[in-house]
Amino acid sequence: MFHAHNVIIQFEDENSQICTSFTVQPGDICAIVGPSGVGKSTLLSAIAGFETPHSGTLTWDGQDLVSLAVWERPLACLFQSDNIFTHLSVRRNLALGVPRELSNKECVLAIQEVAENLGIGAFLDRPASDLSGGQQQRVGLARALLTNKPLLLLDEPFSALDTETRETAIALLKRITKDYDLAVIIIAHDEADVTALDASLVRLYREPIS
Amino acid sequence: MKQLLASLTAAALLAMPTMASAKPVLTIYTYESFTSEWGPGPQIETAFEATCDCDLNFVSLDSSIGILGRVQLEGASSQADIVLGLDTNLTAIARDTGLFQPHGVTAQSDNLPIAYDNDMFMPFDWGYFAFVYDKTRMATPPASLQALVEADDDLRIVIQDPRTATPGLGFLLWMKSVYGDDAADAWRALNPKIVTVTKGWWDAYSLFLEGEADMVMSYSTSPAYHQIAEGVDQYAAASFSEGHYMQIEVAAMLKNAPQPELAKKFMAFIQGPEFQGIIPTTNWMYPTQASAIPDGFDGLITPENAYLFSGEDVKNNKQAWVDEWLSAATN
Amino acid sequence: MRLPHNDSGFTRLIWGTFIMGALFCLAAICLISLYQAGLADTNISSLLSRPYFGYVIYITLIQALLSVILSVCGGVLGAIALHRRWHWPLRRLILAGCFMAMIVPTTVAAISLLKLWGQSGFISLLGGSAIIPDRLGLWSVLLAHCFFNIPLIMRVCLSRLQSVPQGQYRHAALLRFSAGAYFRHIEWPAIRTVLPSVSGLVFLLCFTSFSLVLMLGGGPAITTMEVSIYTALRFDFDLSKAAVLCVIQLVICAIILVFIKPSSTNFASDNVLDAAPLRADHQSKIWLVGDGLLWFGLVILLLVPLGLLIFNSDIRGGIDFLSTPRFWSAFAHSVALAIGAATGAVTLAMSLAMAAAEAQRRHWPLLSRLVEFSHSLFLLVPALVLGTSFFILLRPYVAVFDYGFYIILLGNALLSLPFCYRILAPALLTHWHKTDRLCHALRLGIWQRFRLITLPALGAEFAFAFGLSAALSFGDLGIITLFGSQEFETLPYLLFQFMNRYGAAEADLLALVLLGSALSLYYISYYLIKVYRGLLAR
Repeated sequence: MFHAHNVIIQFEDENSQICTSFTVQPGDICAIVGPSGVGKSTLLSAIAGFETPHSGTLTWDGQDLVSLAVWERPLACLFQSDNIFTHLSVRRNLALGVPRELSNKECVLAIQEVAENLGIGAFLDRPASDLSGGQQQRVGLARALLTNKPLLLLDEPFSALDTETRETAIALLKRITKDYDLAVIIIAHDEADVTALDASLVRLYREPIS
Repeated sequence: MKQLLASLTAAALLAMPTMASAKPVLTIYTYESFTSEWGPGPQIETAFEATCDCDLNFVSLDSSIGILGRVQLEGASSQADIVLGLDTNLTAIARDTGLFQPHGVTAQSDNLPIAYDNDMFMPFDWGYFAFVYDKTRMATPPASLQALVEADDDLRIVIQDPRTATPGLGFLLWMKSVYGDDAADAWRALNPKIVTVTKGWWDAYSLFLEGEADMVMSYSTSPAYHQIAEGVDQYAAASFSEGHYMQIEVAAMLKNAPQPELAKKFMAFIQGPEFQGIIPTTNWMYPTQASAIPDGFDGLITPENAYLFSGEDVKNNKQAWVDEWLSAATN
Repeated sequence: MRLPHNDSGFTRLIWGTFIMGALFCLAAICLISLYQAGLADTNISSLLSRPYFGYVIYITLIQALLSVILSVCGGVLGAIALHRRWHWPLRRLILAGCFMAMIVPTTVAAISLLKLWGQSGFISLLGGSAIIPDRLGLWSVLLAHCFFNIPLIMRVCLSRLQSVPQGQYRHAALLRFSAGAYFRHIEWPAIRTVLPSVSGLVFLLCFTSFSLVLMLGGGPAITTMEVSIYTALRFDFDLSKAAVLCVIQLVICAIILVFIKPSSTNFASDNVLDAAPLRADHQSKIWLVGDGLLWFGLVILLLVPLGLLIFNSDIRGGIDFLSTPRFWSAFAHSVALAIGAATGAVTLAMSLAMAAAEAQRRHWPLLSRLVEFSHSLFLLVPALVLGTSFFILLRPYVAVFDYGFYIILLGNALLSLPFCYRILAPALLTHWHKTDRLCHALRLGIWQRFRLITLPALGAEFAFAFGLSAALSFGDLGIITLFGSQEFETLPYLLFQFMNRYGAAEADLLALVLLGSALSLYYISYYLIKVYRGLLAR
């Protein structure tokens, strides 16, 4: 279970801050909403470890996250774009996510399974640069799943997709959340997406620094 | 500030031909050390201007052979009246350019080691090439050219480029005189000892004075400068048993000299007592007139055997010999 | 929507095309005059069969190749080490050194390098004389080429690393990439895209290197074709040899230019290098040592020599020289050349960029490409070749040496044109694209538009381009070696005359003056454009 308690992130240039507390259970999706520029991405960066919150606690199953390095946190990320390395094949991209303790054989099997599950099994040996935007996001998602981390952070992953692809992607996300029993935190821009995802809501707003 | 402004204006007006001054200007191209403040240039300028009611303008070029290259490049449009600082090795090459004219002065030298009478090139001083060393740093210099060539490689010498400087060419011819067809092998043996090959004489000599080399290609008369001008007895020329190569420096007037009369006057002036009196203790070479030899020159080494190629020989072989040096220097 | 063709656009196109034509004509004139100079009646095969002739071509190529290999290795590793340890102290200083290397005149660099590496340099003083070769040669030329080109490659690589999307660095951190994985998946794929053009540029610069080789080559064994052209012309008066060398050099440069397109190198402006990288990677202990050594190497290579020049020169003996007319006349010539050449280069670069943009807008791709290409034409025809051919061309008619100033002015302007164009053109293109319609609606003329809109908007780029070309021309030691004489000297030429006399106080002093002036020229133009911008905003 992910828990954010009284997390405060300050924007000193603008003399304002955001403050939030919320909980996400495995198998649930939590959507962070708010006006643009409010600090949604900054909050997500803080959870991932790219930034440090001013105060408050972030825990996973009671374990403190703030003191952990990025790669030690039990989470995977998917951003709007640039989630894959375009000079590599799809398979090599996925292999980067496989935990190092797995043997070669297990690695091949795991990649095959996730790729089939996400509908990119046919592209495994194509250069990632050949794929469409929607397909590239799926590769990113597949690699996130392969890392075997229980918490998934998504920063507007659908914003670059057209309507049709977006609907498929939302359905896919809902399915894998259940299949893999993930706790998902997603930044959503579009309220319709939130409704479609059946997500719980965390609304962010700025307040003056007290 | 005023000076800066003046210079800036000068820069802007640079392309304009030099402003005509009241007096006629005699332009002489020469090498750098000749015109430096301790060289013969300033004194000769004063002395000649006192006799001619003219401006004597020395244009100093960065090396001696560069003087010839420069007038060749400028061709007929050259502003020079006289070039001063070639030597007898280059006279046949220079004559072939067709840029010079006979000076029309009878040569009267009583202190040249050989009889030299040339209608175009007027000798103004002479000397023997020699390696100069510092007695405080080197007790016993090599006693012969062969000893130098075969010395240990930790001996460091500096020489001049035979393509750009007359001492460099002189040394090339010296090597050729001594070694003949084996010169290439001798060059290869000498190579590891050559710290650098400089463009002009002064570059090499100052390197030596700074301690960057143990010996420098210069003249047997160079130590006289340190003895007479500085009162220092530290430097000496190494006497080589094979004999030394000789240099006779010459001046010549250009065919298209803008001031031919003045130029002729200067060519005669070169042989006169004033010019000859200035040369030994400023250019540190032997004068062409015996009466001008100063006292301090007695203690200098005098080789028993002297080499000198004719200008014709040098003209016919220079390219091949320089190429021989180049290919020896590059492997 | 396509704009209606308007007059000012057409004028721009005509003007830029005219400039392009002039550049091509100039290049053609150079070739023709070289041909006339003796190619027509020279027995080329006999010339080529002379052993030294072949050696010159061979050693020029070898030297340039080695320089490129060393510079690329050093530059890439340096850029990665700097990017990886962004928060270490000295970073600003190293970046400043990288920037200085674009401006430092070659003569100053040569003097500074000898202060560290020379026989009586700092390392020898510290007892390290055993590791220093006892005479100048290939090593000193390579060292100098690294001094200038490692920073160039580092700048280009660093700005490329900075432009890698943030997401990639974040995923790398999440996936716990090792230093090797960083290199394979992020750094190398990014750097690989810029490497061919920048190493092509470095090859051209080293292949046509002149002053550094002249000063640090230490004799006939280490030379370049440029130096041989100079010797052939200045001392042997061998026009046909000079011409043949020019042509061979042209052919080799042309091959490089066509196949590697070094002209597409983009020079990062400083603000790209100011932002901290977004990477948050796992930093292993092994690379701590490696990076430390790389940083140390960069400091030794870039900063220590200049530091020694600035803080460890004994200039007292030379101070009198500052009051001589000889110094001031050289100084004035240099300043006039710098300002003139920089104005010329910026004007040329702008005219070409305008025409290229206009031709592109009208969908005339061939013309646009030709105009684009013409800016790099004089990477191909180096200054000395230009000077030589002008010399040969004008000699029968005028006293060429009287026009040395203007020939050098033209040569310097063309020399910095490729750099200017690369700095200005991309910014100009986007800017024009944005403001075209507005300016057209306001009926602004070309000059008004430049004065009121373009110059203030692109102040930083103009200042960079102008300052860089001013500094380059100020410190250039190229054609001046052909035309220089007692009556016409520049500061670099003066320094060149003095520098062979090691330890001469005048040389140190001149080097300091040169360095200070080149930097001042750069910053003054920067400052003036900023002030101008401020005036307009009021």
